[in-house]
Amino acid sequence: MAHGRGLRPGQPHHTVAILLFLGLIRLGMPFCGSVFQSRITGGDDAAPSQWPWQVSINYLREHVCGGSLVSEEWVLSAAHCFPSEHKVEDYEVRLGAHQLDSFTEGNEIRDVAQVISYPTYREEGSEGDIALVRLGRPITFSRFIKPICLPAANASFPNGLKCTVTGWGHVAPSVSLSAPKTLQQLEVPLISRETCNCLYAINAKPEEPHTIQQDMVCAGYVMGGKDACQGDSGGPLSCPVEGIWYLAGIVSWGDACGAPNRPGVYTLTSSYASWIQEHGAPLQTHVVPQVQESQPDTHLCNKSLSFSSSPSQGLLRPLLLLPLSLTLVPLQLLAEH
Amino acid sequence: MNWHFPFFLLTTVTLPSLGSQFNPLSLEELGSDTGIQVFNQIVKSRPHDNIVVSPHGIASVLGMLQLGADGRTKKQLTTVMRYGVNGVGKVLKKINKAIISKKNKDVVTVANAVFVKNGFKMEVPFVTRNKDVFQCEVRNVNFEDPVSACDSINTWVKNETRGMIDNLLSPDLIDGMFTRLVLVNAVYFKGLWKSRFQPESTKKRTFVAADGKSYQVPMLAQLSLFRCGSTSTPNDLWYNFIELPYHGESISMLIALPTESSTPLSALIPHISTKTIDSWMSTMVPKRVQVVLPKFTAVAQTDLKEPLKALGITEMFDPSKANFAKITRSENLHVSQILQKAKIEVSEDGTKASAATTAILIARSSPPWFIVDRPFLFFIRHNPTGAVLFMGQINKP
Repeated sequence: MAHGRGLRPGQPHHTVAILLFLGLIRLGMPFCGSVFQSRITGGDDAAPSQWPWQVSINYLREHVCGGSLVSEEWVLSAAHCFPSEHKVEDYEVRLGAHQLDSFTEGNEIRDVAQVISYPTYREEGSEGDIALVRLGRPITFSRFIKPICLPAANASFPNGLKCTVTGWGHVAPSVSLSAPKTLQQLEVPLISRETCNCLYAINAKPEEPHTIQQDMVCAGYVMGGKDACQGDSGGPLSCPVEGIWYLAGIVSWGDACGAPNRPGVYTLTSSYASWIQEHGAPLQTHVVPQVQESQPDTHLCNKSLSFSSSPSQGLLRPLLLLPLSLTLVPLQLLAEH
Repeated sequence: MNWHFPFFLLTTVTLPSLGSQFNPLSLEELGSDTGIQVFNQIVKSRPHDNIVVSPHGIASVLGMLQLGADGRTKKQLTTVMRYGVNGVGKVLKKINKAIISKKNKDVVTVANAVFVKNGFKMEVPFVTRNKDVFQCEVRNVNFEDPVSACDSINTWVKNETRGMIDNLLSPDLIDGMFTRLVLVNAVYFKGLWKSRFQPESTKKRTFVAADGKSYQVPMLAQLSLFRCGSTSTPNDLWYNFIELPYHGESISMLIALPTESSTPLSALIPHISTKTIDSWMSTMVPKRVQVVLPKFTAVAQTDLKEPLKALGITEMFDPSKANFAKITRSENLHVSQILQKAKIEVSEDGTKASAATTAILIARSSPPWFIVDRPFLFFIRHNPTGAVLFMGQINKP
């Protein structure tokens, strides 16, 4: 409860700020993450312009990864989409696309001017699976092309928050999306890193350890069945907070797709807020209002339940406190706009 | 006098898995090359059929015959094969042993036999050399009763191929009066994929056959690290190839697929030899690839007489010219039949779950595809020796 009280002073300000921005949109100045969404079920076709920040990254004219538009010239994606042996000139970014098989109104293609992969990223599954992609020429926002908000370093999204992953990736392992390749959307609840590590330890192969690192977050279903898959990498895990969509995660990896106890693993964008601001100037991050207290989700992993849930909770608490000390920051950021 | 010398060569495979080792013994490659040349001849007359042959088996049978031949008959054999079995017996023996070695882990059985008419006297060196080089056994049968002779040969073949090939011979191929010997070579291979295909990934997909029609066939799919590459024929037709290793690492399936669906297999085949395959092996690089290939069984019985004649092996089929003086001096023998039956099964079975288990496979970027959805060539290669145990063209799975 203490957390809730702490939040209160920030909220009225925030509401005001959103109204201000709506005003700006009317004046032709787009604002990140503001798209009205009808209710999303799971694993179905998105509507045109429903996820206007979703881009397709093409290598040698083939879709290889997704990405998220975060400004007129920057796209955020996954480092593993850009192996060092691939040339930057062989990449293109397609924006405003709905069906990959047809080039329709609102579609734009841009060359890639620069790819900045996180420097210490080593290989699939390791830390730092994030890359900044600078478009060859800035893009003009439209109904089909809009940026998503980048969460600030201190952002925290509560466990269980229903976020949405989108992409043109495989619909099952080794099964590609069929024509006309309509953008797919899937609602996935967030799972804490601790619980996710616990899930990945179930029936784990010792020779192939999978560790959810500090800069990762999971989303999906313990039961399996619904998940991101090959071809979705780099794409957005979009989380709504008070009507604004934030890029909480970047599709990174997972053991198979949709297997039980193997939720999708995403690069936690907020871990890289300062790196993004430094290398992707003048990108701005946005403080995410803390509207809901994060509840422990250890019950999702039966294995840890059988031991004790207290250590996990102990770990979670400091995380819960973090956002609280930052509730006032949004005002500063908003004022800058 | 017409002495029949029916002789059968048989081959089989069961396939399901990657292994690569590059250590060619040029001799066996010459042996396989003869088989590949024969394949080349076969497909000329049957471009739209599924064809499976064992180049190694063809080389073995021709080698066994060579030991019995003399004069021009022998000359023709050594010219086409480019080696004399007597000169290279030791190396051939080594190769034949390496192929069936337990080190391979995959089961390879090569069985050679000469079925001889009861009471028929053969020259001793023919028997001992065949036994030594080709581990060939000699069995007596009563050809005067074609049905029971046929039965005993077919039973032997069935056993040696673990049931994969039955009814190789039909009694009408045996002439109770004149048949003296039947030579049989059986090759059986049962490999498990090194990286198995998940049965739940097997789905019906469209295969566009050589006749231009589309068929829905079950196809295996797997995302894994595979060695692959591409190259072009001297007249600039590009094709891709990929290595699917079996679990013992010494035997692999290689698949060659024209890059453009408009390029027919017949444009590629003349360009392929053991040398070409060697060059694939040395240029392939491991890649994270999404492979899709038909799950299929192909059986093909092939008459090798015409293809061998086309290559210049003619005299041994000619009753008036054939010279098998080293089998026997008491009668004039010739080869009346030379058949090969080969079977291949490609399924999911393997030793290890593959999909997305190793670090490189968990990433969710879209991998390049290698989709075998149109006519293709395959090769089952024993990598330590370079021997091609089987090869084939599949026009419709």
